[in-house]
Amino acid sequence: MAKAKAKPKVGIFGFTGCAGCQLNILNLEDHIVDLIGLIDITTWVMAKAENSPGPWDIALVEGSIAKKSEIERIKKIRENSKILITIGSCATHGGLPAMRNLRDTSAMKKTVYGDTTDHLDIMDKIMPVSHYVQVDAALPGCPMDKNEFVRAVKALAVGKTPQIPNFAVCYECRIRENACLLKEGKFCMGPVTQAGCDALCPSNGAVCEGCRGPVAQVNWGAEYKILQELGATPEEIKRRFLKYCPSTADMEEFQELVF
Amino acid sequence: MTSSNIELKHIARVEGHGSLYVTTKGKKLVDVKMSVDEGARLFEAFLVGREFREVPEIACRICAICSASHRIVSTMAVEKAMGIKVSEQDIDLRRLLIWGEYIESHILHALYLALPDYVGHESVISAMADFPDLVKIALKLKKLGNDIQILTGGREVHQVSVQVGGFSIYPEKEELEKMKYRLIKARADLQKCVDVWATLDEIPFERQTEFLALRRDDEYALVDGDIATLSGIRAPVEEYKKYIQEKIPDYSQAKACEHKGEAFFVGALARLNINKDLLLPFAKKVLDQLGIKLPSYNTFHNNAAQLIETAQVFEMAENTIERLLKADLEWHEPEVIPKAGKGTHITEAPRGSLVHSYEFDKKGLLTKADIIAPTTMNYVNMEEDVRAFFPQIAGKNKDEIMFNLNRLIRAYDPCISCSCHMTEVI
Repeated sequence: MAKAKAKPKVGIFGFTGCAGCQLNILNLEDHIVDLIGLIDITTWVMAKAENSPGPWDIALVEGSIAKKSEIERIKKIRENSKILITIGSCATHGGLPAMRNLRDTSAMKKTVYGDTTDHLDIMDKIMPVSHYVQVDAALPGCPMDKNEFVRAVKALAVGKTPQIPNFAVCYECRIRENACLLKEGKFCMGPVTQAGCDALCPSNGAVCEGCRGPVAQVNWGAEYKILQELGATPEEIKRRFLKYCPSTADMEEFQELVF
Repeated sequence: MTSSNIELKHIARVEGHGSLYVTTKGKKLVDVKMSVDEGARLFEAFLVGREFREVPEIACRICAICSASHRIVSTMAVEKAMGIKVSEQDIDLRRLLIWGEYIESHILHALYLALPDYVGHESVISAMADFPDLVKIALKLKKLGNDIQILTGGREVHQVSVQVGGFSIYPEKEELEKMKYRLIKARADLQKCVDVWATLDEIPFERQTEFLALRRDDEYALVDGDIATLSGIRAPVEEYKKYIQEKIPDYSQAKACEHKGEAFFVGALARLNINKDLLLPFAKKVLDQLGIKLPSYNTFHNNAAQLIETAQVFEMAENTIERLLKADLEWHEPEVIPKAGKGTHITEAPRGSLVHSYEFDKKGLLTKADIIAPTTMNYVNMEEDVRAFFPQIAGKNKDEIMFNLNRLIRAYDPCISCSCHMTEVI
């Protein structure tokens, strides 16, 4: 009989954030026992007291690089991992905390802490993990989608790269036969947002907030026009466009928009 | 005598990054510092300028484990600021969401994160080998809590359907009926967990401290009420700054809080101590079985208190669903008109009191936010507990001392992401 192949060693790492993507792994109540059969989680400080210092076959990285010391940490994890995957918006795109990139961080620090800020390690800009190290695949979303995660781990366990849809949330909305929220006059980001969440928010009657980041070949101009026709002001549109993925502001097509 | 340092760097099996630094001289403890290593996200600062409708959507991202509590307290603070009233069934649906969060969060903490210490395992994953049935029951109960959150909030982490002024969708009546049936059936599962907990060795420890929680006279307060302390203070939530004062330790990325210049405790044990007279029959039975005398000053009882509260919210959830089934459940579009104003609300997140206080301009854009999370309130108390507990374990070897200190901090169910979203300076 062929010898059973060793399970890939997996490390799960939280950087600055809400821990929601890690929590969503714990929330896989129906799958967790099967997943543990596929992979060997050797490091996961949120759930385990005994943690390996590496190396790992797969590193799953959650959260923002928000402190200087976190840059060193992510580099070390990269050096000790064969594959590195970002989970969630913060690690993939910078996420909500990256809103600071478009503002004056020292003024923000003052708003929060007053004048006592010298002892704090707060970076002026929050960049995606891919800014610091090579990222092999990304599972975006705030939080990352549980089902997408299960599919990704199953693919990784057999040596494949997880596939992330390159179409907009609107397609998934159609498949679920949801009424179009833009047609109801609501400021939905579905047309410009990468799918993979099964259109969760619109299926709950709530607009897509764009948490998964821009879809490939995004047409910002068309979405801008739709929202403007629905009565959104340029400021409102800008706020929506730059919420979960503020690096959108650096995109060429985006810079053509007039706010 | 030489001094030595005990460092619990990156405390495991808690949410977020925190460390405990203890300096000892011989068997004497000289210094304790609870430090938060999580980076700052500056929520209060980037909330400024955002529109009132998206404030709860953003604020719930402070913390995943308490996202429902953040979403609800934030929504209610916005509604107070704008003078928006919501319907009885909206209130009940929000309450049901919170009961779901309590079930999920308390089971996660008591059985996944705290229990392994009591049964000699490093994690629930390794405990699975020795206690397969208990772990399966814990998974089932946790899923029940999550399914209640999905039914009422659209998702178990960072809910979507709770909106300022109401909801974006309502659950179907049949789904609510099914949920009620599941809750009734799951009582037996919860009972099995309680039976196991009742056999665990108790850790003897006591330290007099103040307890703070919400209080109302008609119900075990979790979603709204007055600020109350065990020593008898009772005040409206708008006066929170009088009772909860923040300071900035120079060794931590988070603030810490005091009450009248002293440490205080928030969380399941505080609520139980303050609201014990309002427990429903199932919770009362669990309290009796676990044999805890109230008020309890033993921090380790906080985990048992979480199980007692789980029984409490089981019954509250059944009652809430019963009321919802009698309502029409006709969904209505939330109607909201922005206006300038101030709004403060406090809820009890599973790990303690949670304050959101906002100011808006007349366009409905946020001009000021003050958010105080429970773990921030508990930091000083944690340090005081470490001081008081240390002599009990001073004779043990370093590994055992570290194990016991970890366990003490873990008993609080600390939520370090929450504490380090960063609170505003008064």
